[in-house]
Amino acid sequence: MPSTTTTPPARPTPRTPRSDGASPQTPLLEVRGVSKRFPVRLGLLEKGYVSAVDTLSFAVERGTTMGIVGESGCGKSTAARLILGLIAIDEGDVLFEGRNVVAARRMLQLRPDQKALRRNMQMVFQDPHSSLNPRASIGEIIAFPMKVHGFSKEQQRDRTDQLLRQVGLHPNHASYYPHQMSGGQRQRVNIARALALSPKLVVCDEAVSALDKSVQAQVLNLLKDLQEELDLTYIFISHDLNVVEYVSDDVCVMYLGQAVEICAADALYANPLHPYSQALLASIPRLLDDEPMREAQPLEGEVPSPLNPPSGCRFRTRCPFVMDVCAEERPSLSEPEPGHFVACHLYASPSGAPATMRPLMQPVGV
Amino acid sequence: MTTIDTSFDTRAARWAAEDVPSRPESYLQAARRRFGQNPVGLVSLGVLIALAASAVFAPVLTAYDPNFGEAADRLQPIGSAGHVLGTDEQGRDMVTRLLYGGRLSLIAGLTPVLFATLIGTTLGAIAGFAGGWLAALIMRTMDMFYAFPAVLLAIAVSASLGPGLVNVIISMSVIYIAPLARVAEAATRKVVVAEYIEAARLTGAGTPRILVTQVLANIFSPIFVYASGLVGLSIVIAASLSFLGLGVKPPAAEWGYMLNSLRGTIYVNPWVAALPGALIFVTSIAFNMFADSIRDALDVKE
Repeated sequence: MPSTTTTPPARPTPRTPRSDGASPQTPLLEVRGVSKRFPVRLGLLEKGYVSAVDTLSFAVERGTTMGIVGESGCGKSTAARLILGLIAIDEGDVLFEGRNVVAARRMLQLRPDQKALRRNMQMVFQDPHSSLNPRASIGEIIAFPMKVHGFSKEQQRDRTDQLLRQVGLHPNHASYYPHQMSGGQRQRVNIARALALSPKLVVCDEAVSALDKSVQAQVLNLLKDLQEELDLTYIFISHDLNVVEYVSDDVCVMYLGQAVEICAADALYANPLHPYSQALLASIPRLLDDEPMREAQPLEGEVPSPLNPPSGCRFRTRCPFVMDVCAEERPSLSEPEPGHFVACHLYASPSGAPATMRPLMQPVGV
Repeated sequence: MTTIDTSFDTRAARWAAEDVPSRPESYLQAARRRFGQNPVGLVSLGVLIALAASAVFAPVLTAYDPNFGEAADRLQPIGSAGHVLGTDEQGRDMVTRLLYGGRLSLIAGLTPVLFATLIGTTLGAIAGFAGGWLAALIMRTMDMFYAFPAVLLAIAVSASLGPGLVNVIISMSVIYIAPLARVAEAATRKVVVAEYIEAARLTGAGTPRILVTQVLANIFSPIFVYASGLVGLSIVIAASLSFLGLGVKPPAAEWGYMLNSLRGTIYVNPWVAALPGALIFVTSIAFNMFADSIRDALDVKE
């Protein structure tokens, strides 16, 4: 224990114990068939819809990290905003500790109890420049969530100091302005703000993508340390497969708004099942010769427009294993290996019954 | 959970004394420093302070009454004994008229801009933040005001309300609301897409709170710069309305009205007749230069 210890302020929002109605089996977050279509104007009177996220389902266990990967425009960030309630959901449910947090009406209006649950879900943003109010000092930025929730001035200051230390900054940084800090430091502030209300779930939307490699590593390690210390659950969204492999326990691979494969990170990187996942993983440059050779056909063509997605399986236009059934029928998630879900006709369960999505319960190697 | 706090103090302990970050100057300190380094800004500020002070302290600075003249002393040239800047067509001292006139001209220049800024910013910020049908309603209404040239609109409103300082202020507030709302709306739309607005939403803060704490500070500088540039124009339009007889009631001293009443003496006493115009010019230029310097000073990189 260091000698510089000052008495830490009492945690302003004590974590509710697990016996708060939710059984230990209930995953912290469950996403059930969430869909979002954005209306777009095609002509003067013609209207179309972009299917940004389509019947996305997954579950995240307490204290684990769910990685979401996919190329740009596959709906990763929209999925994050739907889960957090920043965008109204068209269809589907989001269950936090077993309770639905989807706004009843389209105007994002929440019941008071839903509001209380919402504060347990926070976000670390992608862009270290636009995620911090340029006119506010770092201290004001971190204290803002506490101000909204009626913490006293003193509590705000103490907690800000504590948070700054937790993310590896100095309390003096509170009087800095965002433009006076580096990208890595700003991202640390971003993290501190997300942690201000002691959330249980933190969604990291491309949280390290804008940083250079050495700083990425620092911030990733910080996130991992914080997860361990604060028992945090992460949803980690990235297009960077290496980063996702490093932080995730489970991974959800998305293509054109749909989840194509959901499984433990180890299982995905060792044995990707979906042709898209195989192609994605084959695209990682290899550094060492003794790494197993990943074989996959390079993908051809462009991602189809989400305005008019292909019928059946959305990946069929680029799939090297395309079959007749792919155009006719949308593949549902099947479970060819325990805990390893894939939406592909190659693995369709012989019985024809679609595997239901269950919380991913298998042990995870960290 | 108590383990958290102590374990992280090891992290804090890593800050060696010489690495502890010093507290940097704040945004306002930096803006003040940059303004102080700009001679144009300082000179224009000095001119504005001098104009404001001379208007406020007019009774102390001159012994004459602005509204009564000696018929015998009519149309004295500049530099005559007792009347440094001469007298007007009714024998009133020009220094006195100009000092008192500054009061009405500055009020007519500043207050409409102030009112229009308050109303225009509110409307523009709401439109920019809400979007959709509300934005369409507000902004299309504003667009209707653009259909008329500003001066004509001011004349029309003033003419229907009748002459008088209050009506001048009302009519000019009306014509400035539309452009200010548009500036505010454009600035707000740029701000609302920023991720820090989403971050504020995630805290559970309501829309009014987000508008005040997150949006307002970020749209302030473009609006302030635009509005302060309008003050110069406002003085000119107020003078124009008075010139046309729609402004202050005679014999009150106001630069635009003085310009009109001295019009007839331009062949007799051209320099005296030009004095109110010169002051309108100087005031307007000073406001514009001051606005430019403020913009430069506020322009921090983001």
